[in-house]
Amino acid sequence: MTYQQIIKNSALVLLVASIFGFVLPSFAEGSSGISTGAPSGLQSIVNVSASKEAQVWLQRIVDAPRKLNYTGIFVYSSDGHMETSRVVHMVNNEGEFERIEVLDGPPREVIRNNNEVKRYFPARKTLVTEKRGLQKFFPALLPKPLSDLNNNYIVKKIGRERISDYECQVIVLEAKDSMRYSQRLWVDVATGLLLKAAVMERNQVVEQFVFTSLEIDSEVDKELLKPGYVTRNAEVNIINPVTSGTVKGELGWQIKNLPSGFSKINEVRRIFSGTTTPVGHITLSDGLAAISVFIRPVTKEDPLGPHESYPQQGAISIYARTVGKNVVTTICEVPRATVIQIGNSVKTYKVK
Amino acid sequence: MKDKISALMDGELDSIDVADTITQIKETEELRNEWSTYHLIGEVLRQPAMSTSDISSSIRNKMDMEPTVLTPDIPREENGQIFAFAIAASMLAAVAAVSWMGAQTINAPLTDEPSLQAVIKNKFVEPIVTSDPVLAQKEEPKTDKLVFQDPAPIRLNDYMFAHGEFTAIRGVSPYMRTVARRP
Repeated sequence: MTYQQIIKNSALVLLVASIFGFVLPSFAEGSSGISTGAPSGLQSIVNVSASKEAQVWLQRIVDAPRKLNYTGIFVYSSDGHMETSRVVHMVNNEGEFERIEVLDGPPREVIRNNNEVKRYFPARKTLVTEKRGLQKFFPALLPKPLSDLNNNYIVKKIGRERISDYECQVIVLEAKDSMRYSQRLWVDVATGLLLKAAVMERNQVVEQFVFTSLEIDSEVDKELLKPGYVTRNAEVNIINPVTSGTVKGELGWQIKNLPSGFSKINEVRRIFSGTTTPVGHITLSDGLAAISVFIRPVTKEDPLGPHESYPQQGAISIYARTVGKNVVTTICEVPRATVIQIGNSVKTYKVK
Repeated sequence: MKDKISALMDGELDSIDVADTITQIKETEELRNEWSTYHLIGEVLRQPAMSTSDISSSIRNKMDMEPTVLTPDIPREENGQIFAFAIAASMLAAVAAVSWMGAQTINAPLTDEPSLQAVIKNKFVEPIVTSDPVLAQKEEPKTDKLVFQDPAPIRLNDYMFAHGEFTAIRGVSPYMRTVARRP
């Protein structure tokens, strides 16, 4: 390589970097995290644009299922266990349709019809229907988490690997501290579909999912989306209605002393199966990991102790405590110490 | 039979079933193949993800952001009881729904609200916040077992499902992330 070529190549790198710098913010709207602690010089321009490029891949992951048909088998493992499932996914002008069947153990199915989700338990003759309030608040939610990523994670594009015979780009979301998990994602280069993902705690895989066979963009037989069981035979029929939507501040609860990087996203009221008492549901995020805080009145049947915790299950941590006359349950995909800190941060304006 | 082989691998069979299953595996070639396939898959899945390139920069990054911690890296113990899920990504959302399903064991009462509390009351453990990771690790398998001998609490499952709706990178399925129990 001659001197001139080197200079030319460097100029090209700069050019590419500046193009990314110019074009990509439109993908990561409102992104403010990139400036945090970024070093100066050419290296930093390259780093920043690499991170932005990785974010474009993340956006592709989000978008892909909204545009693609696919059918496949995936295996999902955690805590040394694994379970195989079949997924059929179809998108047409009427929306998104999906059916997932668990292939191991007792038969179970989830059927999704846009915002309606049905869960079948044939062995129990049970059907649970949920209508999701997604359209109400979901679109507003999406850009923020993605743009906040850089504050709490180092987003990197690594090499390429083959998964289920598809060439995949490997993206790493490396946690900047021990309050959260890292993630490793394998994205189909051609379609943006996520084919493998692992939740990591340092070098340990906490949970993993991978497609073992997959057909993308094939014709989907509508018959495959129908439940495999006669649903009208369901003896127990439960309907969980839509949430009441956003109720900012109305719940009367606040969360103080959050671990760094987490902030409140939303606040809704929900009614769950078999009850009439609304449950407060506050959501928080660090850009990737979501946290749910559920607040409901204590009932006669549950004389909980002041602090209760479930054991860690895969990447999910659950922690419940009693505050005044309420049970506050915190659920999130973060290490245990984090969920406890968050759970303990929940305060009421007016302790009864 | 496949269920039994799987359960055997996970240490979930009782002693009579274990003997019986092993005998059958010994005698049947098909089952022997099944056995080794399961192990193969398990091994592949358990492998930590490998970084294939750009190792130096990832090491540098790691060193940059990691404080000096003088505690050993304790490997997660494998316990045969719990099957949980949590990966923030679109396809995984679908997966989460499945793992949620796992939580619904056959006999779990569906409308019996207090069951959650009944379960929790006895099975909840004090949170272990300890600077000694070895201690924490030792405690867990025991408590896992206790909690999940009972049907998964219904209210908690509703919470799980609702939680999924709010996860960052997802896209397809609104549900994510849930606790499940291997049936």
